[in-house]
Formats: sequence, C-alpha cells, structure tokens
Amino acid sequence: MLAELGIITTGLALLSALFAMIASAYGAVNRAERWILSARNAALLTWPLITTACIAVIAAQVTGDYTLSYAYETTNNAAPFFFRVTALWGGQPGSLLFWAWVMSTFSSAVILFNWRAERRLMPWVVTFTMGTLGFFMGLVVFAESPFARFWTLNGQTITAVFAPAGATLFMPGDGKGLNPLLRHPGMIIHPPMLYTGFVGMTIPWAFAMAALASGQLNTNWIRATRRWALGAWLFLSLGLILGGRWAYDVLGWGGYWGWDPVENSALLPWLATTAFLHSVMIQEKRGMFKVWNMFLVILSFLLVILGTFNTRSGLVESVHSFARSGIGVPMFLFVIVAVGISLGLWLWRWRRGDLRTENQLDGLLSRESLFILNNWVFIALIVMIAWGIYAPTFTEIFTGNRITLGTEYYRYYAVPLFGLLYLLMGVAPLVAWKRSSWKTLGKAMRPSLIATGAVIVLLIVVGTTPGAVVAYGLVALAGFSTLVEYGRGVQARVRAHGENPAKALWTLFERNRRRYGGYLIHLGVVVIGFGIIGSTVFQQTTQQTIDPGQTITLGPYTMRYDNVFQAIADDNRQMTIANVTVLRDGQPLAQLRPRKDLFDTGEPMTIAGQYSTLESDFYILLNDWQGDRVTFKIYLNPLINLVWWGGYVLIFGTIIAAWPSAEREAAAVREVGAVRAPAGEALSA
Amino acid sequence: MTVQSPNTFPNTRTTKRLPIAPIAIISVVALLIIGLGIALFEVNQPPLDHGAAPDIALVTFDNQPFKLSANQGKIVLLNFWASWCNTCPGEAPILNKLWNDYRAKGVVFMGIGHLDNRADALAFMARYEMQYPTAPDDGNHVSDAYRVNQVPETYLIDQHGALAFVLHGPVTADFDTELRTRLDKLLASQTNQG
Amino acid sequence: MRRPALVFAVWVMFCAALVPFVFGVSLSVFAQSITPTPQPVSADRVNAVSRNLYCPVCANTPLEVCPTTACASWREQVRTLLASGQTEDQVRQYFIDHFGMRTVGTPVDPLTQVLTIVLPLSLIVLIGTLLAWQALRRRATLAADSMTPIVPITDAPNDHGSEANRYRARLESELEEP
Repeated sequence: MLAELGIITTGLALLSALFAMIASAYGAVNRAERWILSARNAALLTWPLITTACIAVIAAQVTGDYTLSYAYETTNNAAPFFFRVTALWGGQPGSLLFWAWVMSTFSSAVILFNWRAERRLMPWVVTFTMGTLGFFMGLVVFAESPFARFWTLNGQTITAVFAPAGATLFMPGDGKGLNPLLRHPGMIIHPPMLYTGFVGMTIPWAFAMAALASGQLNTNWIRATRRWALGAWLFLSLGLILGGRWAYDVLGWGGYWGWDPVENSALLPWLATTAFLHSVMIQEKRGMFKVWNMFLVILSFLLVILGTFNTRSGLVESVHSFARSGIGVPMFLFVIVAVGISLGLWLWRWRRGDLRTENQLDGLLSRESLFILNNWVFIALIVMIAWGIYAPTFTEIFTGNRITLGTEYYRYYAVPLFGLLYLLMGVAPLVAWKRSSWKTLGKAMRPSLIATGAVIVLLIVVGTTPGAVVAYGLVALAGFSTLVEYGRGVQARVRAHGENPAKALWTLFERNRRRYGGYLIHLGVVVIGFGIIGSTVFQQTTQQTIDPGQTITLGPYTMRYDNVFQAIADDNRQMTIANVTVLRDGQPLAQLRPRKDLFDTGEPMTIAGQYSTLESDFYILLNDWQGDRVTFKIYLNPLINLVWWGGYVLIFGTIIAAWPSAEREAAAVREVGAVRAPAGEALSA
Repeated sequence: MTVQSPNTFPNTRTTKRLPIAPIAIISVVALLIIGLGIALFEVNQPPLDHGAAPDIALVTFDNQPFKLSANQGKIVLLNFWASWCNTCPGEAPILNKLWNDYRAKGVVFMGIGHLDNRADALAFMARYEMQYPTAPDDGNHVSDAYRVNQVPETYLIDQHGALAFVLHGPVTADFDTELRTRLDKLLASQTNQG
Repeated sequence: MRRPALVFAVWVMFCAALVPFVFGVSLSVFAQSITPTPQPVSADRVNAVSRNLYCPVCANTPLEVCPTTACASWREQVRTLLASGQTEDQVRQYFIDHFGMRTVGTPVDPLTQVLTIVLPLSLIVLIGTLLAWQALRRRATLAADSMTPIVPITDAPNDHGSEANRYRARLESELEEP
C-alpha cells in the first residue's frame, strides 16, 4: 500500500513539475495569464504530493515494512524511533526524495509569498524552480526509487519498483540498518541543514534567471531574494560547522576538517554565496557589479549542482560518497543543461549591454575596489579548491597515475587567501565609498591598527611562531575594525541624539540590522579564525601504551588511566570503555570515558573523552587494548572551542541581519508596487 | 557621480577590445565539462570481463621474472590477493589444490599481491602455505591495468591471451567447480588444436 | 593617470610570470626531511611520518588516522623502516615505489606538479592580470574621451571635526532610509 501510494504521488509530482515548467515558460513568453496561473497551481500541487511520498517512506521505515528495499537498507528492528525517521535521508533514493521535498517546499513558499510583489518575474521563477524539481523527481521516479520492493521470482530475490510477471512480494525478517557512523545525533540535523542550504540557493538563482529571461534587470530581483540567500547561507554555514563538529566527536582523528572532496564540494557554494552576499551591497548602493552579481548567484547554484554530482556520481573518491549508482550520467547531462542555460543567458545579456553599470569605479582605493578584490579572492579560493577536487581524477585519466592532493596542497593556498580575506575584513569597512586616500584610511584605521599592534607585541613577548603572529594579527585586525565600526556608530548617535551608549547600540541594531548584524557575523568569523589558527598550528599529540595507574602528560594536562572494562549496548554493540582521570598541576579535574565501539556489522567507532575549556580541548582516544594494557592517543587542541562558539555568534548575527523590520518591509512593498503596475496588467494572482 | 562622455557605450568603442572575460569563462567551463565527461566515461567503464588480457610484467617473491606475453599459448590463471583481505585465507587452500591438480597439465598460476607490504605478504603466504608462484604488484601497475580495486579477484586467461572467465570475489567451492570445468574445456581445446 | 596604471599592470604581469618559478622552487618544501633519530621508534614518530602519507586503498585518508587493519599493517611497515634507520624521505620513497603516487599529498614528478599545481594558478593570475589591465585601460580611455580630468575629492586638511561630522551625517541618513 505504501509503495503504491509513493509510486503514484512521485509520478504525479514529476508530471506536475514538468507541466508547471513548460506552461509557465509558455505563459511568460506569450503573456498568457491562464497558462501562468495553471502553472502556478501545478507547482503548488507538487508539495502535497511529495510530502505524501515522504510520509510513505518514513511510515515504511517506522513500521519496519522491509518489503521496501530502502527500508531494509536503512533501518532495522533494533533502531530507535528518531533514527527511523531520519533514515529518510539515510541512502541515495531517500535523500533525493528529501531534496525534492525541500525544493518543493521552498518553491511553494516563494510562490505564495512573492507572487504579488514580483509579478513580472514569478512565471520565470516557476519555470526554473520546477525545471530543477522536475529533474530530481525524474531521478527519483526513474533511477533511484525509494519504493522499489523485494520480489521472489523462481526462487530468486530481485528488487524492482513494479511487480515482474509471476513474482510475489518478499519481506525480509529484519533490516540491514543504517551505517553505524550515521547513528549519531549529528545525522539528524547535518544533512537537512546542508540540503536546506543547497536547495535554498536555487531560489536566488531562479530569480536571477527570471530577471535575465524577462529583461527585468533592475535591483528588484536582488531585494526579493536577499533573505533567501542569507537564509541559505546560514544553513550552509550551519551544515558545515555541524559536519565538522560531528567529525570531531565520532571520527576519532582529533580534527574537524579533512579537505575531503565531498566536504570541499559543500564549501564551494558557501564561498560563492558569501561573495554574492557582499557583492550585492555594491549593486544596491551604487548600481555597479551587475555582471558580477549575476555571475556569482549563477555560480552558487552551479556549484550546488556540481557538488551533488560529485557526491553521487562516483567521480570523486571519498568516505562520504554514496555507493556508485547509475545516476552519474543523467546528473552530468543536467549539469551541462544548467551551465548552458545559465551562463548562456548571462553572457547574452552582458554582451547586449543590459547589465551596464550605473556608476564607474572612481578610485583605486575605495570601498568598491576592495569589494572587487574580495570577489577575486573568493573566485581564487573556489578555483583552487575545485581543482583540488578534480585534479586526482583528471591526472589519473590523462597520465595514468593516481595522485592525492592532500592537506598540504589546500593549506598552501587557503592560508594566504583567507589571510587576505581577513585583511579585507579589517580594512574595507573603514574605507570610504567612491574614493579614499591613504591618509584618510590611515586615520580611520588608527585605533584598530594600534590595538592590533598591541596584540602582536603581546604575542611576541609570550613567544610564538612568526607565522602565527601574522595570522593572529590579521584576524585581530578584522575584529578590531569591526568593533571600531560599532564604536563609531555609537559615538555618532551619542553626539547627535545624546543617547547613552547602550541605547545607542540598541538603536544601531534596530535601525540597520543588515549592517550591524553583518558586523556581528564578521565577529563570529573572527572568533572562528582564532579557533582555527590555534587548533591547527598549535595542536599537540602523543600516542602511548600504558598499564592501569600510569599517566600520560601532554601540555598542561595529565591523564591517569584507571581501568578498562567491556560492556554490551542495547543494539548489541560491544563497547570497550576506559576510565581515565584528567589532572592539572596534580589536581583532578574530570573523569572521562573514552571508548571504542564494535558494531555487530564489524565496523568500529571511536568516541573520544574530551575535557573542553575555552583555552583548549584535552581529547583522549582509546585506540587499542590488549587485556589491561591500553594504547591511548591524546590530542591537545588549543582554542578549538572558539570554532564552535564563533559559530554561535555567526548564527546570531545572521538572524539579526535577516530579521525583518516592519517599516522597512512596508516601504519596500509600496515602492515595488508603485514600479510594478504598467497600464492594463492585472496585479492580482 | 559618473564619468561618461556622450558616446560612451561599452560595446561601440573605436578600438574593438577582445572580450577576455567571457572567452576565459567559456573556455574554462567547456574544458571542465569535457574533462568531467571523460572522467565519467572512464569511471563507468565496466570491470575487465572479456577481451584481450592486458600484458603484465612482474618479479616474483623468488626473484623470477614473469611476463604474460611470454606465456602465450598456455592457459594462465591470475589471482589478486592481499594479506589484509578477509576472504583470502578462505580461498588459499582451494587455490593450492587447484594448482596442484593442474600444474602438470601446463596451466600457469600467478598470485599477485595487491597493495601489500612485503613482510605481511610473505607472512600470509607462509601461514596459508601458498605454493603457487606469487609476485608483489609494486607500483600498483598490474592492478591498474586490470582495474582491480578490491581483492580477491581471479582471472582465467586462455591460450590465445583472451579473458575466459573473471571472478570478482573469493574462490568458493562452487567457483572452484566452475573453474575446473572451464580449465578442462580449455585444455581439451588446446590439445585439439595443438 | 595612464602611465602609473601601465607600470602597475606590467609589474603585476611580471610577478605573474615569476609565479611558476617561485612555486617550482617552493614545492621542494614538500619534500623536506627530518633528521633520522636513533631506534627505538616511538608511536609518535610513526604517527608524525604517517601524517604525511595517505592510505593506498581508502581515498584521501591520512595513514595516521586510517582505522582499517590494512592501514595498521602499513603503519607497522613505517615503524619497521624507521627502526632500520631510514629517514622520513626514504620512507616516503618506499611507499611511492610500492604503492604509487597516491600515497603522498602532493605529486612528486615534475610534470604532474606543473600540470596540477603550477599551471592552474598561473592561469588564474594571468587572466586576472589581463582583466585588471583591461579595466585600468578602460578607465584611462574614458577619462581621455570625456576630456574632464578625474578630480580627486580633496580632504579638508587635518579637519578631524568635520570628518566626523560628515561621517555622522552619512550614518544618520543611512539609518533613516528604508
């Protein structure tokens, strides 16, 4: 029953999406209102259909209906409830359906909320969103259906969506269950966060394409999608940080970012979106960078699609990859179509002169020029990281030798480029628009330069490597400049209105959430920067095999190994747990229990015992044991918790930046409405 | 404040500027897509199942050279294994017996150690008493040629140098029977022709 | 305005042309060795060497942290080699000889190095420079065409007070605007 329901709803959703795409395009080109409205309804129809399909999959997983091969692959009888629900995205078919569901949800939201305000763009927005949705639904229906079932035919068990002639349904007694590494709370939120971020970037892209297709190339498409882009960026950031935290907690290698190809594939759209969010400020303020902004939003979307392609096609080798499947070729074709249409439209409008800048670059030292540099730094990062993803595959094909581009390669380029970004963060907010002089800039930067100088002197006195001094200095400069901006804003308000500083600061946030929320995001990035430098450059590690009662010392901490014991968990995994005590200057600080789990599938998982302070993480792994003799691997990760805390600041800042303010919304709608009503065209949907 | 002259349109200058940026972007994107297409094609290549067996050159653990082309006219069985492979211990005695039964009939066996340490490989061979000739695949060239990514795998090559049978997995009792059947058939055809 | 821009552009292009040589030289940094230590070999030393090696079978996994039994025996191999007095360089070479270039984090032979590292970077820098040069020339041409010199906005000399006033006024207008 569930499978039939799923097959019907997914099939209908596919047809609905394709119809909406074609009808909307036809209606937009021929200004045929009825076709546009019909397409709108078809687009909205996809949501209840796909939701029903998802519920059907989850129902099968929750009730243990193992006739569905997908339920068999992703759950088993011993799985707890929330792992059954999240098993929806535990494998390729379900994750594609989940992607389609998020896509459908966002498309419907855009249609419902933006239809009036962006009336001229909406038909094309429907076309492009439904085109993308149609592709993913096509994959679900034809290539990777979560509703494939087990059939017995002539004594053989086969998997198929529809019953082969003469076959009977077969239900295994128990499922295989989710990969043990995925049975972690991180699994519940990390994929949805990332998918929300990825799919979220489709909406600004659809608006950009709508602007290119319809010729409505004024700034409205940016205003309409600013919150979508910011929201998508937030979820991408969350997804990346959560992924790092998850890797840190359960993968047992003391780190949080491995420059793995799939990790990089998620980082690339984040970089493009960050560049876009900054670059649009220039278009909104001075009508410049139109060509750049179109390119950046298209690039963000294309990198999302490319990232999905990388992960699912088997083209890049990674621990994250899905099992090799047949969807590589269809995805590749979609990449070609998406690239062709997007870049084609963009280049066409550009060469026609429709994306002409309204203002020229006045000064080489100006806010605008620094933003150009900002864009280029992000592009350079994207190119170098993308190259790192593909070079091993390409060199294997063209030279026959498989190489690995490892951490050394990435750090070589990422470090100076990110350093440049922090420098820009420290300088650009203080540079004037249009044109500035070194003298003015120097004056504006004096407080932050002095503060940074003090930090550098302190670091030299305390004693650290020259590279770290430069790195910390750059990050500190960014932080101080941001604080200076807050200070100057407060000072201006205090002088002009006589408010007390606290009220002034509040008013700043209230009146200009974009800027001051944005600066808070910068502060979050600064904190993360400190965390990354500390935990990467100054990480210490040691591995020793000891008996009960012996100790290992690393940095200021000492670990005393008390005893080890075995236990069996509910899901039959075998746990080897060590009791250890963390001491500092002879004083016991905590009791930790690093352990190693062995699942009944034979896979191991290492859970570290962590003593976390703001200063560092004392991170203990139980690597191996022989009787009572245990091999411990210990990491000391200085400042690593700043990475997570910086993430919180970043989230908080993004929420502030995106928070709507009543008067501004009303004004924007009024203004847009006034522009929007050419004679004779109906406004109401 | 804009700086423009009356006839300044970006596309109608007196000197036609080469549109570097669009050309660069189109070239880079085109190259990337072509590269990805080729890579996808290569990745989707099915494992080596039929056709001519790639020629290989190895040096055994006993320092004897081995070249596939030098064994033209003979039936050759290649078995890829590794000391760290879970199912290899199970197939080792089966292969030993197969080797003992067919070596007198002129069948050539070569075990190929895939991505293994010399010490571990020798220990494995000693422990499971592998008697047929074995060679380490230094540099992974042979595995690359046969597109071997997992072990164990067994390749049966007929007297003409073509792949007669490929097994992606351990030689179980069932597959042992199948291998024997095929070996007998190939030997029969060899004596008919020879 | 034209001359300094030209000088700047030429200088940048010269630096870009220098890039391949700089990178070619600095890539040798990757091949640095650490002095051989006497036996016995500690787990930390094995880990330090394994950190720069990659698992031949699993993708992009440093040998130090790879959890498989195969990797455990490879780390034992590292220990054995180090214990016999070999340097880190020699251990790396052993792995490259036996398991291929995939076991180290950057390609070792010059051709692949150029293809994978020097070439793409040089291309970006070159294209970026060409575009920058084009943009600067366009600015210069516009200035010449319009026949009005680009007048610099002069700062009021040393007038900290009015600068602050201007800033404050701008800030206020920005805060008030919808």
